[in-house]
Amino acid sequence: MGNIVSIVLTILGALSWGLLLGGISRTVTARIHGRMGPRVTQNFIDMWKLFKKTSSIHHGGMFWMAPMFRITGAICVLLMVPLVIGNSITYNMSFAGDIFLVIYIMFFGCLGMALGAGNSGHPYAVIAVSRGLAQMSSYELSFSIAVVAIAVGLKTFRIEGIVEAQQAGILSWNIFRFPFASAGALIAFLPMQMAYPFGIVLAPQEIPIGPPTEYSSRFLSFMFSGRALFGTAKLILFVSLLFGGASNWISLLVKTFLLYMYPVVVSSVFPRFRTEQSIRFLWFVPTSLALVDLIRVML
Amino acid sequence: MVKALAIFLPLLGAFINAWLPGKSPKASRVVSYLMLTAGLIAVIMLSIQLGAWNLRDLSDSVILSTGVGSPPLSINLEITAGGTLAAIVMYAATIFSLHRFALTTPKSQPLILALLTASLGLLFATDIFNSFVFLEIGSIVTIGLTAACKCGSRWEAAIKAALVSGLVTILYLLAVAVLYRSTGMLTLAALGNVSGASAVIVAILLLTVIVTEIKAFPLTGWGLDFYQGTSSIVAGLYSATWSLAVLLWAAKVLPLLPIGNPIIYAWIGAAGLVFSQLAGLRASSSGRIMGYSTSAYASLLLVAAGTTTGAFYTQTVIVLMIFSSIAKFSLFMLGNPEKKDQWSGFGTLLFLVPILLLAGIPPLPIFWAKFAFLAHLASGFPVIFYAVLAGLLLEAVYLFRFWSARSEKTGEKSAKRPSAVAAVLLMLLASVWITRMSWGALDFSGSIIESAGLRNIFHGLFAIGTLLCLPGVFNRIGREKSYWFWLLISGAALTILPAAGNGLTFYLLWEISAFAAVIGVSKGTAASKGTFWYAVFASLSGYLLLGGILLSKGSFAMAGVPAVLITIAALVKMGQFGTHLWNVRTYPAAPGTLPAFLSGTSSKAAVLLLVAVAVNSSSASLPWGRVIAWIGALTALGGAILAALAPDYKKMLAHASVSQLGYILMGLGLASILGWTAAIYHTIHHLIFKMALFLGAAGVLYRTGTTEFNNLGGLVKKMPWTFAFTLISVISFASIPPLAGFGSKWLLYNGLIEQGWLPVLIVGMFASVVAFLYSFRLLHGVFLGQLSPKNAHAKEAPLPLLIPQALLAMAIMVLGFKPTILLNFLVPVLEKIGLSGLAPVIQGDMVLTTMGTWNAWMVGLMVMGLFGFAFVFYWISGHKPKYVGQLDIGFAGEMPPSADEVHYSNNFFRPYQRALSFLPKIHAQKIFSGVNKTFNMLGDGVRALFTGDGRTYLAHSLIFLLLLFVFLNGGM
Amino acid sequence: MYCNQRPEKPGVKKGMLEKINNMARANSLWVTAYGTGCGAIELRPLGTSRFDMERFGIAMRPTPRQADVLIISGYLATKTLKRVIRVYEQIQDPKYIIALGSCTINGGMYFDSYNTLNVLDKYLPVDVYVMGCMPRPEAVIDGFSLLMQKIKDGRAQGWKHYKENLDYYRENQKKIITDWDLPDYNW
Repeated sequence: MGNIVSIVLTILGALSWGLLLGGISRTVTARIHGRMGPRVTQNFIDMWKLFKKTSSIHHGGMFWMAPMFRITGAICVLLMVPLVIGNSITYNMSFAGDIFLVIYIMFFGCLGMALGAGNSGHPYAVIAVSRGLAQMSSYELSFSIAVVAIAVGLKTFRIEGIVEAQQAGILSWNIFRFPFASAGALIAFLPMQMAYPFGIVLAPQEIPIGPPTEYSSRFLSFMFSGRALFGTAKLILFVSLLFGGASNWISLLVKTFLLYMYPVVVSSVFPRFRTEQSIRFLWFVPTSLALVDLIRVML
Repeated sequence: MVKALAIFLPLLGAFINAWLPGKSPKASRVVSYLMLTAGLIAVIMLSIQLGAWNLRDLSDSVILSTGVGSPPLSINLEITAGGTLAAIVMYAATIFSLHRFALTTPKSQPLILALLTASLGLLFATDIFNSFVFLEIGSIVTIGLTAACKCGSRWEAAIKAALVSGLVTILYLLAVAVLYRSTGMLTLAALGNVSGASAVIVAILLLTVIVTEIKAFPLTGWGLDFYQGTSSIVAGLYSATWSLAVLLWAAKVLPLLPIGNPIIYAWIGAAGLVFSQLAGLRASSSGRIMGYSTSAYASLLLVAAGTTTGAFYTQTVIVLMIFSSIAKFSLFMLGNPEKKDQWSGFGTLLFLVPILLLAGIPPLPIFWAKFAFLAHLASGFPVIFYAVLAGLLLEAVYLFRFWSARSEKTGEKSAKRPSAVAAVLLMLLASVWITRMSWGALDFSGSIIESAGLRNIFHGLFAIGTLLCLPGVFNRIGREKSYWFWLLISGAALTILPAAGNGLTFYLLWEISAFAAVIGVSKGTAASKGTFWYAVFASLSGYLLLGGILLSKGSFAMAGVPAVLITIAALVKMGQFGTHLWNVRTYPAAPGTLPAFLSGTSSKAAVLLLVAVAVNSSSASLPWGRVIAWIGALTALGGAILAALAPDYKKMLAHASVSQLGYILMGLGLASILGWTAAIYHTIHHLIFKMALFLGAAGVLYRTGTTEFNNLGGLVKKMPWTFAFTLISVISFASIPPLAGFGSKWLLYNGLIEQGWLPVLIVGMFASVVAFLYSFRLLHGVFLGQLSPKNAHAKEAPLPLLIPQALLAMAIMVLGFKPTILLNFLVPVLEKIGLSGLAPVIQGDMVLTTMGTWNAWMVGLMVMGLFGFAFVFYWISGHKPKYVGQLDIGFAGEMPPSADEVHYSNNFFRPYQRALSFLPKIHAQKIFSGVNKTFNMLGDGVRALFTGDGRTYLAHSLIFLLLLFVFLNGGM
Repeated sequence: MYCNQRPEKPGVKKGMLEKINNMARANSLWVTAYGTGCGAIELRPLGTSRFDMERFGIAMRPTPRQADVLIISGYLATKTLKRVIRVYEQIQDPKYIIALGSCTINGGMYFDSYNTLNVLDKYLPVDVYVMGCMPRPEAVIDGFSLLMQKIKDGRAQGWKHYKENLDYYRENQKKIITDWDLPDYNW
């Protein structure tokens, strides 16, 4: 029972935190541009408005189900990662699988969204999906190398185990023990968060907003909440993998906040790659970084 | 009395025919038929009397003496048991070709009967001068028949035959003179009595005569021109009577030649086989192809003469020569392909059986003889064995090219040619007969894989895979022909395959399965290219398998070269690393549900083979496991990228199939329990999802008539169930939890990390991510996006295709949510066969390895629960969106002009392709066309010998004679 | 391919919840990025640091499906009307129109042009007119704040009016657009 309460609270908390972080990031970006920017609660208002629009359209079954896929996939990732180490009630479902399961279940939501975009019949949505998949297959390379290097180095695939191995002070964090793998993973984190220079999927200037281009009203609000949840889940995952996890709630919030700001800041000063430039960059730069640690682990 | 009738009735017929006035063709035909039928009955009686039907002992014989005194003044014949079988063939061939001659050249009947007499005489002659007489008669009659036929280049053929006949006469008479001078006798047995210099002279003269007459390489040239120049009827009769007689006469004389070590025949034969078949690759007309095939069998005869003796020799030669002659006879009787005869149904079968017979496909008779013969070679003459294998493979290539080029010419007119029908029936009857006799050599105890658990898994896979393909066999489009019979045969052979107890049984079933499938593929539309590639690669993997089995003496406990050969055979069968070409060409061409069978079920035979090799080895591992794992990993990656860029649904699935088989190889290469668990798990999983996908593709093809992505799209509304099952399969093979695919990846990665094979792991993981590219491409290209107006009429796929898909989709769900059902069975089985590494621990629904955990049931519950919750939330929140069509999109205030213009399908992953452009473009196709070019070049080099000029051919014989002289003299 | 059903007439909603909804709608106005005339040039500065419309929660959306506000930016040619109708009808309810510049009110300097609409109100339900030729960004922001106030008060009901009087609007539209090939009812 406690487990179910924890799961519900985790989902609600992650949603709110994700939306709030989104609002903060919009403000931060605006400040970097020299603007005032919106309220930090702007994302909540947007969500509410979208949810309460009085009409909406859909283009067929997959279009209809895609937000469900998206949210389900995001929540699955969220629940597979322990939140606060030592507090076993916040481990949620993480006993059911290890880091490989998390890596692969991350695709669940992506595939759902891609299917919805495909079913919308809009060519731009599909172009965005084709770009997104191409890019995803590239950054997953360096990300998985980094994960394998860390997991093999710590001799466990269980995220719990990976976090526990980092509890002996800051220098035991994986970002210091596996600096190259961490660098690779952190570069892969940028396209994961669709930050520039890798923001080729939601490229509003050329393929209006990418995959969700036909989504409106309530569907869009589901999409946004899925994105917020997924973003938070990825943050927690990265914090657990590289930054020693969280031993209490405060540190969880601080660490995820700081990690979230990293793509925001990078994003606001860069232009965008072309698709093939992005793919090639991701194939070579972060991959070779991560390989250094992999080779180190093998030796 | 019977003996004499058997031999001389044709002669009598010839005389009566010649005497009859030319104006009564009917009477002369009646006479011929009477004589021939009586002779045939006599020969059959003789053969029964001699016990020839039991092929094991062909040495019985009776002597027939005619005239007064002893040879050469009289004719003395020794009627052997094997010879009577050949005589039956000769009689039958003559009877069945008479009516064809009656239509074209009615006055040639005496000649035909004379040719038969000469053939029979030569077949049974015991005296060297008697033989000469028959040789002369035969040659002259052949020349006469050729000159009388109505075909353009008959004179070229006739004159070359005459020139060669003249040369042979001179050399032969010289040999006779020397022999008589030296021994005073002219019987064949006297050949053994000569010694010293005269022995050498007799030997080289007679050997040259024989090699020329049987048209073995390098003295093949005149035969090629003869077969090409003469009419197909004459060539057919010639190959079934005179050519057969010459071959068997040569088989009789060769062991008697005073040549010292007969191994020289084998060397001439083996080298000749390779070279002549290289040249054969370039042949295009049916006459020349048959010529090269004749040359191949002549070379085989030489090899047999050099390496075998006694009853085995007789048996091998009789079976090989008789059946190759029948095959050639029936092929010639079917006419020239360049004449554009039209074929369909039964006609293609008529054409196919002889080709399969010549290529030595089981259970046709030549297979048995070749298997035994090659086994003999493998045990004592390895180099010759390799050469013969290579030569036979080359022969198979051009024969199948001949067939596939031919099988495309289909039409309404059915072939009703009694001669060909009779020949094919004879071949099939003989197959039954010989198979029944060889039955004892087969072993179905399943002892090559001792673990009953593993065996049962494969039995089940093959049986289920075949059964699920069967319901949809009648949902064929337009020009696809019925293929269910071949599917059934292939599936049945596969299902029995794990029960094979020895190499012969395994090879037999493997070949039956492969070639039944080849025939099935040929029933597709425009299948000639697919058929050809499949046949060639099936032959390649078949011969490699054969080589491996024979070199290890039929046992699967092997190491070294045999193990490597067999592994390569399995890799070719799986289409790994460059050999994917055949998958990519065959699957799109194959009809209906056959690709599902080929990709899902048939490819698992290779897995079984690898398992068999591994479990019989001392360490329960494959030779060079790491190399195999690397091949698997690179293929997985390359296949995935090619699949993502493929423009055709079935082609993409073919690439994907190759790619997914790579994972099985990675697991098998590991040789640890985890690796094997992953491999077997993925074998089962691949069978399930790939069959579901290909059955879905069959449904799409059936309803829309196309599989090109550019013509598809938007079918989800028309075919919702097909889409649903395809979606489940796709989620599964993209290894997204909670469906089955994740399990195989998880087990595999754990296994790879346990052994520390991290680079392989990385490549594998990368490949699995690239799989997302094609998984979406597949779903979008066919089912999502805009519905093209061309497919507006499409409906849901028919039930026979849907129900198997539904079952498979259910299997994916079950395997995904409760993999422990399988693992609980599989892990104990694998633990018993002595693999290294730790087994995964299964506690309830939890699977544990030393480093990882996986609870599929909980993950499944979580995903389903969340999904269900979201679904319920959708409903109760009162959200009622309005459905609008795919064309009603935000399109900059415009309305899309047509569905085709807003469907993004062409060049789908263009940016990815651009990003890949730094790689040098290594196309497997280019490599293979390079190989092809090299072989063509070599073939052209050899072919340059055969100039088409009669004088060249005479020079060849003389040079051959001189070389023999130098070589043999030097040797003495 | 297109939905042929007549759109349902929206009901009247009142109460506390609707007030909150209206607050949210007013503070999150998403604008279709579609410049119909020369006034579009004045919209660009709105996003810059000098004027910064994002502080009001106003954002540009590249697709009408996700937008709330359509800005008719300046003179509307008869050719453009067809596209504007299509875009407007693809926006999901509730939706608003801001008309920018004098041309939308009475034709402005193009009042006697053969191809410029003089009275926009007859073809589309405008919620807020912003006067000027061209209105400065400050004026546009002023227009937005007026719209926000109207939404908060529940008075921005142009979209309801349009749906209820669809036949009237269609008749007028078809008079101008002689080559009418749009679907009659859009969603």
